[in-house]
Amino acid sequence: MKTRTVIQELLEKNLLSEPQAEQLQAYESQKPVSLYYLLHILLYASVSAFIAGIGVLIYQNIDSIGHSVLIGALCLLMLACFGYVFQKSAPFQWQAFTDRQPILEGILLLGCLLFLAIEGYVQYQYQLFGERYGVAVLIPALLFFFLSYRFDHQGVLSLSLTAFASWAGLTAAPSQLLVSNDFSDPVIIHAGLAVGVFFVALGVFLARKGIKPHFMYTYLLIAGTLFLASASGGLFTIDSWQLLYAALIAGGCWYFYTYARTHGSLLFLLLSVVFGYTAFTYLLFHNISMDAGFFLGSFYFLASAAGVVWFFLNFKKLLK
Amino acid sequence: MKAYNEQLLKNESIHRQVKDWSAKKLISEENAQTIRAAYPELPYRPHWFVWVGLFFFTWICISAGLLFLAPFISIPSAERFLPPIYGVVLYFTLNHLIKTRKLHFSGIDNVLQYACIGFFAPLLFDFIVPNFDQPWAIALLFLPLLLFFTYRYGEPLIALGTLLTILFIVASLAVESPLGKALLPFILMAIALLVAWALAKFRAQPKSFYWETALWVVQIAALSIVYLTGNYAVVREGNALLNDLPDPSPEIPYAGLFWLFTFLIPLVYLGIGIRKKQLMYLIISIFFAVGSILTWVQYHPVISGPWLSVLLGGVGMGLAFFLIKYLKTERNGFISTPEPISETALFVGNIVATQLSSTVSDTQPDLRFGEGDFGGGGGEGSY
Repeated sequence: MKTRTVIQELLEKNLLSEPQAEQLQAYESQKPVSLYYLLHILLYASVSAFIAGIGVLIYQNIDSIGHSVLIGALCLLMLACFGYVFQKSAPFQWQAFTDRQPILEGILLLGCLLFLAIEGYVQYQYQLFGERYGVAVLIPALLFFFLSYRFDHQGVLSLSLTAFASWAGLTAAPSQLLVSNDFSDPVIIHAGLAVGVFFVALGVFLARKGIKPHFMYTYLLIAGTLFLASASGGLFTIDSWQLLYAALIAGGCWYFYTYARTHGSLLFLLLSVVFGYTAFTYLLFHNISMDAGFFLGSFYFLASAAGVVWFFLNFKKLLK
Repeated sequence: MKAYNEQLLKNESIHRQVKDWSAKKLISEENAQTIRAAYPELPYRPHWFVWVGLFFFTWICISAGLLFLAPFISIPSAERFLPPIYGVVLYFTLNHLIKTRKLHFSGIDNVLQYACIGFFAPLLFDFIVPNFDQPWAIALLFLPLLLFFTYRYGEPLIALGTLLTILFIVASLAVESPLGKALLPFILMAIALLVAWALAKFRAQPKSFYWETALWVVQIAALSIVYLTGNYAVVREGNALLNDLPDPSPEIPYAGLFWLFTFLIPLVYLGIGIRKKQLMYLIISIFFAVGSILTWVQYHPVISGPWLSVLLGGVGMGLAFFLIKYLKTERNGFISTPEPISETALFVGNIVATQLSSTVSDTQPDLRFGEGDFGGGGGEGSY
């Protein structure tokens, strides 16, 4: 509805006084347009384009003089990014920064991504870490972990967590979670469970100590989802331990649900329902005969999906 | 005719205004309470994450419901009439739920609308066989249904589909004559421009309120089509495609005019965005400006792809940093002060970071940094 119409109607119903209406009208006509989100999207899209271009360029024309200049310039740029952030940022705080500084956040992220690109190049060209690939992954993981806490940056923490997962042979980025991991391989499943439990536990421990409790969201998003996906992989592929994996999923979903309740996070509510529903449905159909499955199936899906819809419509009342 | 209770939508809009005024301390909390009490009933519109869940599980319900049609499948030509009957059932369910549960674009009503439209499609199968070489005829038959749904529900995706269907019919008819084929970009541009202009006029009127979201989406689409039908690359490649010309596509007539459109339209949108303070125009102008630069480089390779990416990224970062700093205080009606962080923004921030790191690892040759991957793709080696 147009603001002018709203003000007019409220005035007619005596819900606003004449001077109030005038004041609101003046405010609305002078209200500036916020470009906050637009500029953020522009910033992150630009960082993405920049880093994608750099990623290709540093492997082109290796051994030429121009190439050395490029690598040198990138190192300087990375150092400048970190230097600027260290100089300009607010001092360390145990809690979330009260004043958000979008420019510093963007520069820090750019510095971290440049670090990844340069480190990858140095390993490729000079085999700095030789065959010790684990060290090469642990360095950015630890550096980003430190930087994320120092500068209160959850994006950098998620970079660190995905690097740690990569060290354990896993892909933890949510967009690639189900595509890049082979969840039929018991080694991957168990590594995923271990990494997931370790980092969620670490997140809980640090949050309880009052160290950046808001970071729990990122721990749960990256490590918690990895845990649930790994447990689901186990449920689908390792029949002999089915009940154990089912119990792990139930526990994980319950934790997500509890977090969703206490923190009002709807994403974790959604994730817990989706993982829980998938696991329950799989268990049910895996353990009944095919004939019964068809008849039961039509009723089950209708009734269960309707039940979930009903739950979503009413969860606010249920949570009270 | 309108399915949603307009009063509820109005109440929601008033609540949103009052929340803003109250947050800015322009009205007292008591005053805000009184206003809210005068407009008590609100439609049900869930948060985005719940919306996804509702959409997905309603879709499962609709699919599972199909199984109840199984006993009737042996009746002759059941595949023709059973889906529309199911569509009618869904249609009544949809209206019932909107009425009783006060849904408004809750995921449930969205997917039910798509399903209703989809289940009516088999009715047109009879027309497809004789008219297979004229798909526009089928589109034309479908159009009344789309228009009816757009009017009754104002669902943005269906409204967008309606616009695209109309353009498809026009384009199909135009390419049947040589003159129409030659003038195709101008015809489509003229229609899109007309739609965009008419929508801008209509959106300024209070009665357009019911279709607010749909009109906004369709207007963006119309403005995008104006740009795309004037874009040199689209016209040149489209021309080659329509006339079965060999690759690489040959030069087109009036190339200069299309180059002018390619660069002028984003600038015009930027001008409108700044002058009228409309975010929508600013966003699409940035998109199309980048599109125009890429179009230029495509046909005049003055710079390699990676260098262009670095250059555009660098300029974009510079611009973003400058504007974030410059707009800390209000300038020319624009501002950029940090807004309270929403869960969606937090989620996107985390996902984007991991996605960016995958951009880095995707470009690296085989580094064998463990089997896993920082972000995605790649990662073929072993640790």
